[in-house]
Amino acid sequence: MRISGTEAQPGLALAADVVVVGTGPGGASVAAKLARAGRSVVMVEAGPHVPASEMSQRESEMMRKLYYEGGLRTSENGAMGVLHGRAVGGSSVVNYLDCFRTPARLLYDWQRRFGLDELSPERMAPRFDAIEEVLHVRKLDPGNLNKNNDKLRQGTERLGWKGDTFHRNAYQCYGSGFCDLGCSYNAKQSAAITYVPIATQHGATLLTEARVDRVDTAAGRATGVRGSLLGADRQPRGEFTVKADVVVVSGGAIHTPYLLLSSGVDDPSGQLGENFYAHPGTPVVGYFPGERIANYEGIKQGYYIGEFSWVLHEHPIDVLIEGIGAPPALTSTILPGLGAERQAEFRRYNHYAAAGLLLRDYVPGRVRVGKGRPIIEASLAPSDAHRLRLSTERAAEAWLAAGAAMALTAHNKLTYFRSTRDFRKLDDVGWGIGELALVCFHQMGTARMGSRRARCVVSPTGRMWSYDNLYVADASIFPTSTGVNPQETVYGLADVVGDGILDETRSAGSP
Amino acid sequence: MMLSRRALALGAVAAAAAIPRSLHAALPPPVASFGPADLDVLDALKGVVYGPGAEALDIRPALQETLGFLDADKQPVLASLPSTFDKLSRVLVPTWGAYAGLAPATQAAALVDWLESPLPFRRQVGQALRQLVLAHCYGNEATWAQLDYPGPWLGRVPLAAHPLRFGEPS
Repeated sequence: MRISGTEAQPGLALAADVVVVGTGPGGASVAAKLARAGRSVVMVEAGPHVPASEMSQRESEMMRKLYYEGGLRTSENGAMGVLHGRAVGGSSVVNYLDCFRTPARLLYDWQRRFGLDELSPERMAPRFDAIEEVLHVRKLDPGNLNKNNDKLRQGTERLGWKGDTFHRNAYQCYGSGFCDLGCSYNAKQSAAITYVPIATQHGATLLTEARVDRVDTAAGRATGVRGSLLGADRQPRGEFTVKADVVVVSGGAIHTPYLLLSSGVDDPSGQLGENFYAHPGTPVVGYFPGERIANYEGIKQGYYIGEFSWVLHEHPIDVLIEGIGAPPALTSTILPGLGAERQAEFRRYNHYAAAGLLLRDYVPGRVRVGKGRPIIEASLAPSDAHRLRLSTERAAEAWLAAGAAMALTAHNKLTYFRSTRDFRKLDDVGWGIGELALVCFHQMGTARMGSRRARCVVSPTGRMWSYDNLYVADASIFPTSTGVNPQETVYGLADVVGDGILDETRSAGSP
Repeated sequence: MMLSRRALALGAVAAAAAIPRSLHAALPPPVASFGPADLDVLDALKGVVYGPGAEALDIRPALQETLGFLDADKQPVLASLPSTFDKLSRVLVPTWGAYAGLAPATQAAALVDWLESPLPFRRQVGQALRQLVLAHCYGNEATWAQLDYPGPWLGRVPLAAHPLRFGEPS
């Protein structure tokens, strides 16, 4: 059953065994697991349900429908754009479908540093097998790379570096290239068309356009949630409540800590909202004057350079370099220059190939409570900026090896390289606020999981230490940033949390 | 009317957020619209950053629409950004008179002064305004032809005639 907050009667009061706040990969998969196990479940989602028939492939309309603040969100100091989904299915609706099992090296690191003994590659493997079956994860055939990604592959192979095509959660994909605006063909196997329907088919209720404002607690237990039904204008139009025996918060690494901090929950670790990681990234462009690249055509993200990743290959730079495509408006903001000169440069648009840097950030930011909204404190630390510089050089090297006439960075000061000798130009540019285009798509780590309540916000089963029945299941429970696209890790850890809920709350009278 | 919300995320609100707290305190109560003088500044910036043909692009309605997607307490800050830029330019650059009334070369020089400032706050404001205007220009379908960008598939590419790139048996 689905209830829309735009139509529900103000004062709506629901009750269930479990209420799940958020329907991204974490919330949706936990809801599906618990519903399958016979628990009554209510899923609450602030965003709308947007079916494929409403995915218009038009930036203005879809960014408004599918992203927080219409895609305008930034860190408080303006250092980086912060993009994440706001719809049934969460960010899985707007991602580029890249799937990585949590790398073994990362799992061992989490075991060693955070006492997460259950997260061994061997124990996680069956979980990932099951998740990949639901999501229809398959490795992209190199023959299906678009020109942009194929150029990246060529450069990588000529340099003798390690690289590969992505695994993707797609079914019958046409390669239209509008993945970030939602899939018009239901090819992307997002949580919205996989785990959410599984949950509702097993009796779960989906309440959309309903913003949870508070988790209610009493005597060491969560008792439910309350919040606002939203109108079509996204403004509150009435209140609602959900009483539940178990509360699962899955609002993502920004809204989960914001909700829990706003609710005044007890956090013995003092780490709630801290340890915000984001994979800050910036594009590096290759210019191929004689060839039509059209980086926006086909599967935009198909190939990555893994050579410089620590979690994959123990490289100290610790970055993934991924092929990306970008529509005109976005590209226009990244390239420097003004007026006629800029316009002439931009006529080369179809000859630009682009790669995005996914830097594994080591110095975290934090999320705190502002006046009615989360405040994201994040910027690029000098040590991370140094690795971003090295990453920029490697991406540029790949483009030059692939035959690019030059490679360009996204600095506000025009910075280009015709050969590797030109990398010294990077001595003259900054990496601070307003000096380059920096954006993050992967928010992680603000309610980290671990075995010690003095250091970690949630237990190894995702339960907040001071409560018997309050859980977190989303990317906020990552102990660190992952260094790879995080979607499958969210599903995997949520699966662990789901089992934890079934084990730990069985005695509460539920099946 | 096509805008890149993502593009705007790279800078537009960033500058609003980066305004010092003392300036926040002096801002007017929340309003979700640019005033006429603000739009004049943005129009003038359009000529500077977009270049030839800018006069044919009407981005004012789209700019107004953009404001409505911000968190409520960010809206008045972004709405006041053009006037902040205008007024501070008179002191910091300095310019003589309203930005919208300056000669094009002077307007360009003033914006460059912001973009290349050693102060992060000024760079961020300059970039935010530049990106805000550019994103609205290139979000407009009228600019796509010069880039040879075809736009959405829907209504253009018949699926029946298009092979599945990543087909799987059901």
